[in-house]
Amino acid sequence: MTTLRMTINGRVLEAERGETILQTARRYGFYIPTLCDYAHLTPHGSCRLCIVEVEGSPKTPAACTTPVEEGMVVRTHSPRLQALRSEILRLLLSEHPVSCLVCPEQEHCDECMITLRKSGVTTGCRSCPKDGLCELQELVVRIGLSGQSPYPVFYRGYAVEKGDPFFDRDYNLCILCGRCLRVCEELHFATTLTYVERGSRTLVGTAFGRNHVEAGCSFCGACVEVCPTGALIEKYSKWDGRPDGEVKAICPLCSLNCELRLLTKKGQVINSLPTDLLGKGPLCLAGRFGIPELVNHPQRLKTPLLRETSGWRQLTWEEAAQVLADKLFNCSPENFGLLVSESNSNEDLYVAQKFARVVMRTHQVSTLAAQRYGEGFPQVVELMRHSVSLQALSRARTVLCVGLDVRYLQAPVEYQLVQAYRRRTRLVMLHSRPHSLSLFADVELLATPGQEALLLNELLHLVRGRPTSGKRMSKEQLSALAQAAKLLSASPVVVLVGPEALESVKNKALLGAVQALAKALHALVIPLPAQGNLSGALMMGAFPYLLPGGYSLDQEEQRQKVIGRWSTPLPAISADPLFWRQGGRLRVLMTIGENPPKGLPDSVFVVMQHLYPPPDQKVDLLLPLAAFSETSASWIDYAGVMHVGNAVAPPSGEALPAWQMLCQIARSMGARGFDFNNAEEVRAEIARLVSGFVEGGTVDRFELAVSCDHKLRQPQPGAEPEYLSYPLSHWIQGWQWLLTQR
Amino acid sequence: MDHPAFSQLLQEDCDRSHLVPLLQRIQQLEGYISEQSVRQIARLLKISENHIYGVASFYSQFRFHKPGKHHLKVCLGTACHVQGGAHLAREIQKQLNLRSGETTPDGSIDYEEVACLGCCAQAAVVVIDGVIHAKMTPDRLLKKIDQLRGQQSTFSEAETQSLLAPTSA
Repeated sequence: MTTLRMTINGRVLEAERGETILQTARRYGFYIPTLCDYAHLTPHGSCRLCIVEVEGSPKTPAACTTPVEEGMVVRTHSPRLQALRSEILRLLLSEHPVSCLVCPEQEHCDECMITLRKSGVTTGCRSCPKDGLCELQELVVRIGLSGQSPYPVFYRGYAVEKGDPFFDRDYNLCILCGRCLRVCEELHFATTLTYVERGSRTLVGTAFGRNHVEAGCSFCGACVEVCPTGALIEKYSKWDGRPDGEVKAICPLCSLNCELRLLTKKGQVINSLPTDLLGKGPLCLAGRFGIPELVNHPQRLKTPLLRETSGWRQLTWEEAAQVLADKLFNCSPENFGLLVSESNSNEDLYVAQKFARVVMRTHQVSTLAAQRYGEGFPQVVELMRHSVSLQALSRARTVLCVGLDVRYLQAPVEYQLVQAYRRRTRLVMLHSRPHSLSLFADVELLATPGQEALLLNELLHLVRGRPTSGKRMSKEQLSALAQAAKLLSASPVVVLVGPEALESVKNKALLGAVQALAKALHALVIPLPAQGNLSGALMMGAFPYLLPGGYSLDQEEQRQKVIGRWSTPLPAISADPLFWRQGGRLRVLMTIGENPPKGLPDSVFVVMQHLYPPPDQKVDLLLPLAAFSETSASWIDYAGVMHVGNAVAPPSGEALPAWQMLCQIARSMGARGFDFNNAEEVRAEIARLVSGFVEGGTVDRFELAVSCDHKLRQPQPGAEPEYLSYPLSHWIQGWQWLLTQR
Repeated sequence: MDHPAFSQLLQEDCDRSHLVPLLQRIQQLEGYISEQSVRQIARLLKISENHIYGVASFYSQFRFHKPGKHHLKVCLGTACHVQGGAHLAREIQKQLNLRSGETTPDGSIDYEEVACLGCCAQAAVVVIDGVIHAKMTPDRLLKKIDQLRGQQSTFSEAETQSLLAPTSA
């Protein structure tokens, strides 16, 4: 890049060739008002507010679209520009409701809003949900419009579009800056938003006036984030106004563990945004819109509850710990079981397995992963062991997606694929039903459910230069296979394996075929499990046959390390890997973030720590769990990278993170080694047993392997993604609504 | 991908720049742009249906409803306005409940308001199926419309083609 010299407002400075005037001016700290400009979006030049004077030109070009030139002399402010900008703003405002600007009672609005009435009433004017956050409002104040506008006020009178989940659209407030449709085009293969019609009738909309679900929207919420006015607004936080805090947290809803910017108001999470929309990509609908609903749900447990014949009795934590300690004190190791969830944080999982092994002297601690993945679980773990970051896509020439549907969930992957696609990376997709990306795939292999492994094996034959058997395949499949084999010969190849494939009924054969194909192609394989911390559960040793660090129980070196760290021998008795299945020996079952399995005999004392109450199952002691946003917690993502999220809001009621609850009970039972004061101390101890366990670091997964030959699969094809053993739609209303539309 | 409009384009490498010619060809063949054909273009050019609709709705030459059997144009140019063109338009709105660009629910008549047809001496002018009717009054227009609804299209094949062919945007 070469530099050139130019002048802005009398100051001689150096600019990079290819930059726009706006970029240079901003770099040197000159303010130019803008509305349609948005960082990292292609310039649009539609709002005309960034007009500048260039010496020698009679026109006033838009700074955002004019490239700098050698010797250019630019003025960003002058009486003429001020007059023009005011005029442009007046024109914009002639079609935009402006009560927020002209109301003489603005100053007193907040005081006057308080009224003493029995029912909820909206007082004060609430004409726009973005009042106080609107960029147009800000600009009017900054540019300083004065006097009466000469233009008649025109209200377009469109009906507010409330029919889609998650966000409302009031195009009466739209200023047609085009940010929403540009960001949609930037982030997705298929755009949802477009300008419809032209001239004074121009409107942002979809084809044939369809609703967003039909138009293919994935509800990533990027358009809502970039909208400068109140035209697009989240339903959940619509009237919440200006947030009073913003904290970074980690999303626990899937293995991507995206970073979130959680906005808070008065100690409550009101909104969730991606940290870097046009760098790392958008969030999925659950992460973008579902989080406030999940953590603020009115059914959240707030205090410990003990079941008595007359109903639930509220307990203090001391009482609850005492009840539990009494129960556990009389419980022998083989009668105790601890079920944890793959959505729990590393701290909770680590302390849980330590509690089972040190306090209860048993290895009977587990997630339900073996049940979820069934026969293919060892393959899933094997894939996760070698998994790498999605950044590998930037070097790939061909990407093979197996069972990956990123329309609604795991949406950030779509943006990675879009970027790869723009670099002319070829996309080959294998799945059982067409979805939003089918249109853009270079080759789409459509398999009947269960046929995926067969197709992959045939593909392997072709890649090795052998003919296919051609059996049990349609003509279309055969020609698609031939094309796919051709594309896959261009290495490097990256294989993405989605939750649909990982959890498919015949996953053992399918994942085996993926491994064989990847080996033949020297391809990298990236599995993307749906569970938020499956890697963490494996690495923390929250399985009957794993030690912290992912080592198997009989690995002597790690055994000694663990024993040394805990200063206590490991339990000698062998554990039943399916302890929760046979109620016969179980006397006390603790579950953390997991609903107790169905069909337990009444004699089992069930303790459950969870965000929400259980669905009609017998639980004897209910403990409130702190949500991921209420505690400092860490997660290990699909690629083995550790992320730390911060506490954003105070816990709901008296909720505690599981590690804190377990430490309290362990201490009241007289156990040592549970004196952690905060999550950092737990992480410090984990780091001594799990190498690479530092924020942003990749944990060392070399020894990780499970063998599991039990056939306890309950096949659930097409099952919904879960969070803490509840389907996501159970708590996220918009998602529930979406599922009825599919 | 069996749309006749695609047949010749399929031989070449298609990209986004073919969008407007494709839309024009489809309108020529079918008289309008249907949801079905937009879906097929999306598949062919690998762009979203919303994008295609955005482009198509920008140009006034494209229509998204099936044209009626008969075509009725009312001139609202200056001369026709003076001679009561607006009364004719109002009458159609009242009797047939049609606005410019719409078609009657039974598909018999589609209606369009135009700026000037270039025969101002004959004002007020109405064009029915390509034939100019001069010095029109609301009463006569309603009678004509009644006749139209009772009969088939009077168009020859060639006339249909010329009418459906794109005019300038």
